[in-house]
Amino acid sequence: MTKSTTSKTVPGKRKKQSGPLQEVWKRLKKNKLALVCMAIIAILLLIVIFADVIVPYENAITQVVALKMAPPSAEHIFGGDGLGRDLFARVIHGSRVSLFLGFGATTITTIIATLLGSVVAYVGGKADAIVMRILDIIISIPTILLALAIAAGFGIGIPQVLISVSLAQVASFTRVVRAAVLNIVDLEYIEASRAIGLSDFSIVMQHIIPNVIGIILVQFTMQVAENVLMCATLSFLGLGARIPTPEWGKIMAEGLPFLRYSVHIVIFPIIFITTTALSINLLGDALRDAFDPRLKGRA
Amino acid sequence: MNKFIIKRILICIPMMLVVIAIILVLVSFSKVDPGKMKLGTDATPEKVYEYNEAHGFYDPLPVKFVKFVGNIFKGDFGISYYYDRPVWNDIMQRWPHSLRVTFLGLIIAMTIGIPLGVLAAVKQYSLIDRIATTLSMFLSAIPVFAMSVILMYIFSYRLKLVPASGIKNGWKSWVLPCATLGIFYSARFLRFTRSTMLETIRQDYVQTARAKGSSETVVIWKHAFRNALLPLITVTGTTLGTLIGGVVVIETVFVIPGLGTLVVEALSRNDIPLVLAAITILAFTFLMIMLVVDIMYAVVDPRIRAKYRSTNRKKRK
Amino acid sequence: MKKKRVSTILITALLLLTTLTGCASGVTKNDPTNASASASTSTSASTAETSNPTVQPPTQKMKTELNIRTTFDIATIDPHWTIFYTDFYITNQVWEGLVRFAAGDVTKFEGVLAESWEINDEFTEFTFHLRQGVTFSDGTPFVAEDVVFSLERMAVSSGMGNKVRGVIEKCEVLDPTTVKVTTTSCTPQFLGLMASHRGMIVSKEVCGRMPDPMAAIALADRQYMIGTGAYMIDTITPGEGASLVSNKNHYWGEPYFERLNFLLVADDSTAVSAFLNGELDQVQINTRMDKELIEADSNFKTNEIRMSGIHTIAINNSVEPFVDNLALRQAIAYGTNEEVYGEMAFDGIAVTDKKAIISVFDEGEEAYSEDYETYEYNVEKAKAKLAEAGYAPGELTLTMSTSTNMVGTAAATVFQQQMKDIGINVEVLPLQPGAFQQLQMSGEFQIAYILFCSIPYDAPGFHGTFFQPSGIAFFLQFDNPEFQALIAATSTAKTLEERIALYKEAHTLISPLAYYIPMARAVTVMAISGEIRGDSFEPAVLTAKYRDWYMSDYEGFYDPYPGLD
Repeated sequence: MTKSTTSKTVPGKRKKQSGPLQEVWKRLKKNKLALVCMAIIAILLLIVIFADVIVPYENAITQVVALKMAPPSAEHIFGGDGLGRDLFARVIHGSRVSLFLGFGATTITTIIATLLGSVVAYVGGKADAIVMRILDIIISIPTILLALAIAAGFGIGIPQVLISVSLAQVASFTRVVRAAVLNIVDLEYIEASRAIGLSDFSIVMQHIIPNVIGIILVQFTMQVAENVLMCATLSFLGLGARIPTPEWGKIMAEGLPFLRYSVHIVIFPIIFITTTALSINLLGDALRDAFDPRLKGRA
Repeated sequence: MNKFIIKRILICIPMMLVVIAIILVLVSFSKVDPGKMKLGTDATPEKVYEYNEAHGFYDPLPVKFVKFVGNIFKGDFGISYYYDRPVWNDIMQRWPHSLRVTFLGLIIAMTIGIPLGVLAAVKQYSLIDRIATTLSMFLSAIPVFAMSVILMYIFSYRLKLVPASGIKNGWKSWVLPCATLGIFYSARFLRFTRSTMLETIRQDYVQTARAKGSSETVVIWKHAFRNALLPLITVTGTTLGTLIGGVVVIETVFVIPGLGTLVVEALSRNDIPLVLAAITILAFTFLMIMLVVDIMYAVVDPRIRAKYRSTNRKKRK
Repeated sequence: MKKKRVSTILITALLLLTTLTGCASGVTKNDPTNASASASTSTSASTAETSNPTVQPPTQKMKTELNIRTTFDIATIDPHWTIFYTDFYITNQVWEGLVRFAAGDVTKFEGVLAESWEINDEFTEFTFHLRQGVTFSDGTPFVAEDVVFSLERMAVSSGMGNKVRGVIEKCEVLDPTTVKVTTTSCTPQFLGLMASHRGMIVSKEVCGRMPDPMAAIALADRQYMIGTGAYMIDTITPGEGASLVSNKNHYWGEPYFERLNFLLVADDSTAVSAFLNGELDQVQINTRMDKELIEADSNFKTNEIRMSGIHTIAINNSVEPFVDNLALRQAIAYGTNEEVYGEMAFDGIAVTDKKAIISVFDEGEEAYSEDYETYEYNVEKAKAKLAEAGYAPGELTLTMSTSTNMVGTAAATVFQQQMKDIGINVEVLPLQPGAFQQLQMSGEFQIAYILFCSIPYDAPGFHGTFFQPSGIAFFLQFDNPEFQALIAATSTAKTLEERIALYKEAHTLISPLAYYIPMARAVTVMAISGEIRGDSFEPAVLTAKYRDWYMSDYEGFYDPYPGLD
């Protein structure tokens, strides 16, 4: 029951953006699950923005002897960690780093991949083949090992993690963009635009990119969830945020030596990570369904 | 067809070279001095210099690169800066552990994921389907290390069924790591199997088979599943690829002395030969897996084979 | 359809959450009923024991193999060249020295290969009367020339452990049972040197078969690893450990434990699990919870060993902003709260009594004193000193290097917090153990968390190594000519009293200068199986002679070597 039409079936019509996107939004709103996810993500974003208001950052780094390994209580609802810091404060403030890493890396990837994928698909030919080969090479180095190698050379830090993760994902993202663009490049109205004399650059910016926004958006959402998990993993391994900055994966690594005695230090970060990744994933699924209802029913 | 295979194999070689070069460049920025590391408190500047010189640490990057690659063709992977013995020894000692975890985990994942996926597809929207899909959703949202930690807590520390870490307890030590990987990746197999099965079930030729009178089981397994094999091969390949990267995490949490932890240690000591050798092997394995996947893909799918009969290929991804 | 999907997901989520949080309850305690049962049998047995002090060793051994955990891979098995603790553990069983420290007392000595000795008043001549009838484990007889050769070999071996270089003027064989050593200057600590790890005696004949008798024995050359000790090397597996078997020819008789397995378990948690399972008999404990768990279980016992070691905030006094900046150092000193370090960073396994942690050396050791000037914890004074040093609150940022293990990061995090309280920002730089060790050696840090120890016990060697402005390991890099002069004078001091006075003067001098700031005195906790008896750890060398250990389920004493005195 496809009400909207894509540019595929009605060539020659410019300025299609508002139409399809509004349709997508309408469809999305009907999906109750998607709304729940969006609500959860909104709450998370609020937590990130208002972390200082919810609980002062001081609590996340001040060590209190009495709080060491304390189980959850009324005053400290998540309890205390191995160094006597309020776990609730650490998890709340940890969301900032975790989400920043996840979203940040994905944004970088998206920007690079969009530009690269569009240009390469549009230009085609040798450049296309070469760039694709280079990207293939980058994927053959597993992300974690790449991040470790970068850390060995350049030390531990947030920029290093951002670079490793975004580089590792660029290849697959570019492929997706490239495929989407390839679908459009052959269209007549692109030929028509060229005939009129529009520069290649304008064509790419004004025609190609807007039409692949949908696909990019879906891919972005899927990628964010993956990147949040990957960055948590890298933090768990010791890369990324420096002492004493909290981050969900890092908090879990700190709690691991005490696992024999209590599990609360690792439970709460896990809940947050899972909720985040799950909501984003489900939203991504819903987005994809909304963009192309024919794909509904697939996993 | 053979041309395709040979061409793909040949391309792997320059790719490997580029990978080695990239890693070499990245690691070269490390400020750790291997001589000082090895000699420890014994390290006078003269001794350090001597040690590093003898091991080729002061060679310029291109020289290191050429030496390393050249030696590989002779079958020699170099001498570890830290252990002062052929790199091959340490790698061979630890490689089997990584392989064991990776393959056993994969097999468990496939054993759980694929049948459940088929079941879920066949009985779409039933209770089983919903539980399976929900579970796989959850499993994709928990990072591997988190799942490892949880399972370790429940089954080692509370229920005391299996050892939490280390490999000294015989087969029991491997239960938790392999089970963790297996459960984690089964979600992926479940989802893919389910979605491809759903797609193929709707296809016309399945309807035809049903119309022909074949029993439901035959329809499912002989027709639908077979066609789902193709994407499944791809998924197996990519999962294996991810596992190779992710093996570091499992080895860290469960304290398994495998190739992943070897890379971490070697990186921290700036033991360049060891790092290069380990990453070369891992990247090479990855490339080989991708190659095998591509080849099987081409072999299994008659459409692609047909394409190769023609002169020009335009592979659309 | 959608509604059902949502509700299914929510229900499953709830179920998962409840199972997870249900597991999140307190500490696992061992079953106490088992404990009380064995306790009662042991008390009844011990009352029987006190009436009969010496009991014959049981005819059937409870256990013949001892499994000991090590944290590092084996590097060198050569008593004159070893640097790491794992290697010391092993060499300490295979070789012996002329003397050894009396249990727990580093000022008293017991004879091992030497039965008795005389020392002249100036501490320059040491005459040892050697034990007769001793053979090395391969049958080679122990002769006086072996002592001479060993001392020569000790002197040429390199590394921090070499404390005898330049100390020995000559070593002569007076007769087949007597060896006389003459030192270049007053050396009251000479017996201590001979008792430490490096002071072991090797066979001249055996080493003579090596291509280079003075070079370190390679790990593969087990045929040269021959000593007079109670154990011999059976297998060495790099990456896994080593296994030793008892020396049947040992002059003391066969030790109780017939085999010692040194097993490499790098991860603390794994090691504790293995220990609780009974797979390991000795393990070092680093967290309070592990300690409480093990102490509560009567199947195990713990040994607490105060070390000649201090957890320190080591300052690199040769770089900015510490050069000539006493006020800044004092600020840090005033801002250091040892109790918190003890609790947080070292998990209660440390001594934080201020008097006890000023001196690196422990009570009874020659450079020990309680009287050095200390800086009490006083935030106001710290802030004042910071201002005096010319920094506004929050203006200064320091970098602390530490290792990535739990203790290292905990200590650095506590430091960061305490400095924040007085207005100094700290960046923590965790390094992998290898890189961190290198950093300490090269001195390329601003501040670091370092465990200063004097093991093996050796005050002059310690000062010579750590408190010099340059050299192989010059952590603090401060240049104080007065101090150097006092330390130099200790090697020519004629009497022990003189030396003690010199050390005291030297440390009284630098204590107020806060070149380094103590966090807490290090304590090592060793957990061992409950039935082991005769266990002792020599604090000065932090290892045990497993020959002395035996197993019994009687609480009372019995002498495992009734024939010996």
